[in-house]
Amino acid sequence: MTAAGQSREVDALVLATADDEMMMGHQWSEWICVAPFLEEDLAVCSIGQDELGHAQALYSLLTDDVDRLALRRAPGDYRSGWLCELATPAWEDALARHFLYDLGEEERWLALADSDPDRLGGLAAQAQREERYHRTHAVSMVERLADPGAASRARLLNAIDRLVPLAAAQFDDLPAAYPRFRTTVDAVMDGCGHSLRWPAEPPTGQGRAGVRSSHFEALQRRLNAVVDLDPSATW
Amino acid sequence: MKVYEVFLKKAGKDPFVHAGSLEASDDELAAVLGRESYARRGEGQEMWLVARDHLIEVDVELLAANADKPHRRNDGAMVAEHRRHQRDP
Repeated sequence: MTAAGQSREVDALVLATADDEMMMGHQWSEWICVAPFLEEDLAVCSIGQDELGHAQALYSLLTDDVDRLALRRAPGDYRSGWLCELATPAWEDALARHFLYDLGEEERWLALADSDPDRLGGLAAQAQREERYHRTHAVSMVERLADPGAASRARLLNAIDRLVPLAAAQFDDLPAAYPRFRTTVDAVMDGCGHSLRWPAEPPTGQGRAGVRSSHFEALQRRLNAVVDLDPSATW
Repeated sequence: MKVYEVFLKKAGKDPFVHAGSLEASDDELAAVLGRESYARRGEGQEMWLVARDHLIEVDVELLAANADKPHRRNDGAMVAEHRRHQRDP
């Protein structure tokens, strides 16, 4: 592959990861003050803030106008996975997505660091320090709420089952890492006495291909609610 | 859910200081949540979590000072009185 072709491929990975991170950051912001208990509220809004920080750092590798790139693109120019666009008004869905997304995200940072160590190595290392906490938090919550004695077990595991196809589609642009992601998730699920039905290959033709989910339009409207009041304002 | 008391220690010689409390289902989750609740801005380098059940609460009556032993109170009142007398007999 030519150097230019390789760099385009890296930029595509950067953009898709940035879009995922921004969507996830925003999704968590919608749980502020309404998470099930105060400590969780603090934890998830902090995780969301981390994700927004990662999105900003990644977007700034691609543009000088981060807000414009992040918020004002045409829907077909976004590369976020449908998993990240999904509205999750139920806590078990938010938690199931947290678990599947953050375990998958590790693979993306590893791939980013590998793809261009000079440009992305430092950022990836810094992000991974924060992501380690996100994974610990997600796995701790899942292990407890999926405990055989917990009333939440069926609700949470059903939510994870439902989201597995979307979690797999996150790897449309990173198929080489898909088997390792599955192994990581399955190890936690094994511990919970549950097994997931994975598609053999990541589903294609979704978010990474520029096709938007049915949740995107409303999400983008919420993301732009303040900017739309006065798009010319300087912040 | 159990209540845990949170203690933080800054780097250096400062002692652990009570920072607040949090609720968690068990010790491990308390550690996960303790970080975001109390130490996300580097408020402490070390953290102790103590289940509130393990605290020994001392009877208030036992702590009350003895009213008839004012000499045990080192609040400087006697020295101040002495100085005032020296200055302005």
